[in-house]
Amino acid sequence: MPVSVKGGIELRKALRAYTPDLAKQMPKEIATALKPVVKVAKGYLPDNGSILSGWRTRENYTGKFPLYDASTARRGISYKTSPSKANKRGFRSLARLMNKTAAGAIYETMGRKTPSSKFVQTQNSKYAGEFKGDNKERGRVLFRAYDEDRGAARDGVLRAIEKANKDFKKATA
Amino acid sequence: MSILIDVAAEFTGKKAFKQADTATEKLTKSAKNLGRTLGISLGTAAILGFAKASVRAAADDQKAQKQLALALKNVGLERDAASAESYIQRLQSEFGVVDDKLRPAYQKLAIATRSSAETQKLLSLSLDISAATGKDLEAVTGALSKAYLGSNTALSKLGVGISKADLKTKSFNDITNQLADTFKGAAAASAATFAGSIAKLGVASQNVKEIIGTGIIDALKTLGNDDSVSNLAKDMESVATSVADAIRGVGILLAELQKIPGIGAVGNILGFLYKASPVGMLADLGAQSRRKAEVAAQKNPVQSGSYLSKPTTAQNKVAKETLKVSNAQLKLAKAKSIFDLQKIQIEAALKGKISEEDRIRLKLMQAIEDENITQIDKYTKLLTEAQTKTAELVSTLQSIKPLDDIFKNWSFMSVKEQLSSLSSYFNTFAGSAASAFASLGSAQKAALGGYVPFVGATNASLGITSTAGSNTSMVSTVGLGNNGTGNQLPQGVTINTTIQGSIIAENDLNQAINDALAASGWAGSAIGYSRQAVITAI
Repeated sequence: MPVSVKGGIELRKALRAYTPDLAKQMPKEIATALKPVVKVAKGYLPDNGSILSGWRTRENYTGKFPLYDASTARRGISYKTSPSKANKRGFRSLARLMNKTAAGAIYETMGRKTPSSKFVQTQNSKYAGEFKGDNKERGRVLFRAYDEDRGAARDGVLRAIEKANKDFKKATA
Repeated sequence: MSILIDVAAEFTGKKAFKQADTATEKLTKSAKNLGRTLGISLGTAAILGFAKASVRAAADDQKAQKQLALALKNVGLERDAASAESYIQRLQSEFGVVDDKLRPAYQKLAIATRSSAETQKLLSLSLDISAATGKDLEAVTGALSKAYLGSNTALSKLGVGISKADLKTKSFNDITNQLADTFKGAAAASAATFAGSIAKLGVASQNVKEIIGTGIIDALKTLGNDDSVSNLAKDMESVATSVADAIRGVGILLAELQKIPGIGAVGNILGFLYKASPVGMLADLGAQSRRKAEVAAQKNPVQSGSYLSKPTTAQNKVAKETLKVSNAQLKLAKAKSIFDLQKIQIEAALKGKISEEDRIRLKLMQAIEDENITQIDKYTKLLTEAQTKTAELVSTLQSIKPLDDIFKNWSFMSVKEQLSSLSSYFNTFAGSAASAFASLGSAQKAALGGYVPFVGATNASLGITSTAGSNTSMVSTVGLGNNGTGNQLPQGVTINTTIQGSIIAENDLNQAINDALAASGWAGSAIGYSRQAVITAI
């Protein structure tokens, strides 16, 4: 569950309008907090040799099921510090970790709902990382890294926002 | 498809809420349209509310106008009331600032300055400052009016970029000129923005309210019945509906007519028709009534003739006093500029014999007086260095211990005591010697040198018996002894006199002259042998 922050978006607007230096500083500090999780998560992705041969990326593939390519999947693991659009429940994200590629997401979550499927079992027999996290936030890559981080990234993000808030008040007092 | 972890998020409102809001708005619009369609009059209540608000606005406006007029009257500016009101109206439409704010500001400045020209100048400046700094117009005019009366504290708090030194030293005129340079055109620039345009529209709508409210008040006065607002509103609504329908009709008619070429004169005909219609006639009637009221209220000084009214004695007195004070201030400022005692004193002190540190201090004071920042920096630095060095010197001197007295163990008599002892000894000795000498006989005194040699001596007494020889030896024969008389050479003294040349006696001289005369004669220049000639030759 994300931490709910009040006035974060207004703070970003105010920083951009009145203290451009601080406006640049805050995303950098948020990024510093998120980068370790991304780095660890990238390490949890298997290389191409550890993936089922039929799922591995290849030329002249015309099917719809996304094939796995280790380098592409690693590139897909990243972070974002700019506010997102509001979701259905009216929340806008201030800091976000992402596993963007379809194949990466499949590896992350495969077996959560259908642990006995043939695909999952076969892949598990070849190679599979450990599941970590709870319920919908359970996974092998990003969720696992975030879970093992034990809230350090979240605390770092909050600290960065609070620091920016304090600095802004000081600068405009 | 992607996996996302939101580390921190903010609740900004659900879409469903917006949808609900939009739906409600739509429902309201639909209901209104339905009401119109069904002939239900939703407008009566709205018009009644608007009429009430307009009446309130008009009443407030009248009250503010009267208050300003009264304030101006009290400070001797009664004849400028109409021009003040028109000036406020002009500012209102030009800068989009409502007259409810401008009137108190004008009043405050007028009370402080007692001059319409100065008030209008300062109000204009206040608007610029207010627009540039975002400060409230009331606060700015308050600060300026206080500054005009000599208190610059409020002005410094406004944060308008004037240093405390400037506020202390500069005159009010200099300060306002500086402010005018700094904030020139800010109000106009602000009014030219979108926000300024909105403000102007706000002012216009407020004015519309006031104008309509005044009309309603006039109408109520005519009717003489306060509870007739509802009826009046209904009537107004009927008239407004008729007017709106008429305008719509005219629009449709014009649109159709414009399709026909060369039909421009129709507009004039329509204007005439509108004036001839009952609505046009009503409007004319109302306009005439308004003009009468305006003339009576002296809104237009030319028509009311108020500009012809002469200033009263009290006004003359106030004007004279103001002029007197202004002149005195001018003289004082001039005198100050000539006799800047502070600068003179510093200059005089610098010419005196002062230490280096004092010189730096004085130079620093001079730089502060001249407001020369470079010099201030320079001398501040020098002064700090000098003070540091002085502190070091003091510390060094304090650390030096005094030397021991090297003679402290010696048992000398002091010099004074010794001199005193010697003086006493010689005094005693001189007294004893004098008394002993006095008791001696004359011969003993002579033997001790108590006489003067050669006094009263002659050749014979000195033993010189002949002058014929070339050498004379004067030998002491008597000497100093117990028998000395004082006119003899002392014993053992010999005086030798050596006389050189051939002319020793008178005859030698005569012979020499004769020889000279003879030689001259032999040379061919005979000289008479007269007594006179001899004297001349010699």
